[in-house]
Amino acid sequence: MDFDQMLEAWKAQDDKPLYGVNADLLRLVLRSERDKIRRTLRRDQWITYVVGPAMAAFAAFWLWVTILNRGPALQQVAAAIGAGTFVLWVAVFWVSHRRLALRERGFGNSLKDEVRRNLSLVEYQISNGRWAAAVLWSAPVMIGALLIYWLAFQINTDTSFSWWHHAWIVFAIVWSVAWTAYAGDRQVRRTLQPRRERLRALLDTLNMAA
Amino acid sequence: MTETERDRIFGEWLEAHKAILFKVSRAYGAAHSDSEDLFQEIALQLWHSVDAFRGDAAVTTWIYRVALNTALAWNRKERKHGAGRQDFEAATALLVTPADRDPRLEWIYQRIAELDEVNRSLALLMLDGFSYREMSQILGLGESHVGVKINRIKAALSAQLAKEEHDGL
Repeated sequence: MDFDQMLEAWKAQDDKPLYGVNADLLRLVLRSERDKIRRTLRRDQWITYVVGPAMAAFAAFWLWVTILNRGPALQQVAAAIGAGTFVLWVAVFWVSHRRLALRERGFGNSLKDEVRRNLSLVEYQISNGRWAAAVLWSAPVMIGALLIYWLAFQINTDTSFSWWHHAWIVFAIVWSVAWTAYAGDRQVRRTLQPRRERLRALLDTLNMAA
Repeated sequence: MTETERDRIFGEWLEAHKAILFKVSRAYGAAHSDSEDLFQEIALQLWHSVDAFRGDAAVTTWIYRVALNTALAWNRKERKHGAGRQDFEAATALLVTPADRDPRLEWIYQRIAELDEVNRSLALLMLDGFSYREMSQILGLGESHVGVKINRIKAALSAQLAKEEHDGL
């Protein structure tokens, strides 16, 4: 072999690469997508495990204060609901995460199983989004009860009460809850549902090819 | 750039230039399984790099730059963490090597594997017909320095070829 033949052999390999590209490419894209979803889930997990207990502790503290000060029954009920909801949120998240991990163990290494694994993660994200939205909508009940208590306290003790000031606070709370719920719903509709459909279509194609 | 747009560009690049990824991953992956891992790593980095591509250089130049940088970083990481498993992987690689490989190509990859990191990159670029200027842009070396190194690589390869021709191999 001379130098020119060496170059010829080098160029010829472009027509016959080392591995089957499509399956590899598909696996690569699936793995990359899975890594991305797992990063998001890890972030959500940390937020839930930090914010959930903190909010539950705050609600429990509020319940303790209202009981201690012999506050109205409405506030006591709201505080109890608040604490319970946040504890439930963390518990449901933990259980669902465990179930996801168990489900993942059932998947093998075949291409179809790789797709199924991704599909399972996306479905988990969608159900988590719905659950988080449901929890989020319980927030106005608790916040409303807290505000009633706060307003009553202010009116009874402070003559320089500002309605505008409190109206802004109420507006900010309602807007942030509504916006968070809307953003979550939009992500499900725009990103997660199309991704789920794409994975389902891919699985159907693989099933037909088998 | 939207995610769909990035996926589309990445798909087009991979379809048109996958051979570059194969060559770099084979040149830098010691065993077959290493090559596959490196191929995936390069493809992943290429996917991440789509946003940063501004069209200042040719797409092939960009892909080579990303692929070689990834391979160099990967090699350094492997040297640090992969000691002790190379032999095992080399042994298992023999079981999955396709039988219809061109022996001339095997020879070229063996010679490339014997070079140091920079010369390995230069050899790949030389074989793929890049100019000295393009090579210097991709690797961040001076053009004259590239010229000197390429001449040495060519001379070494030619000498090796002549020796093996003489020995009847």
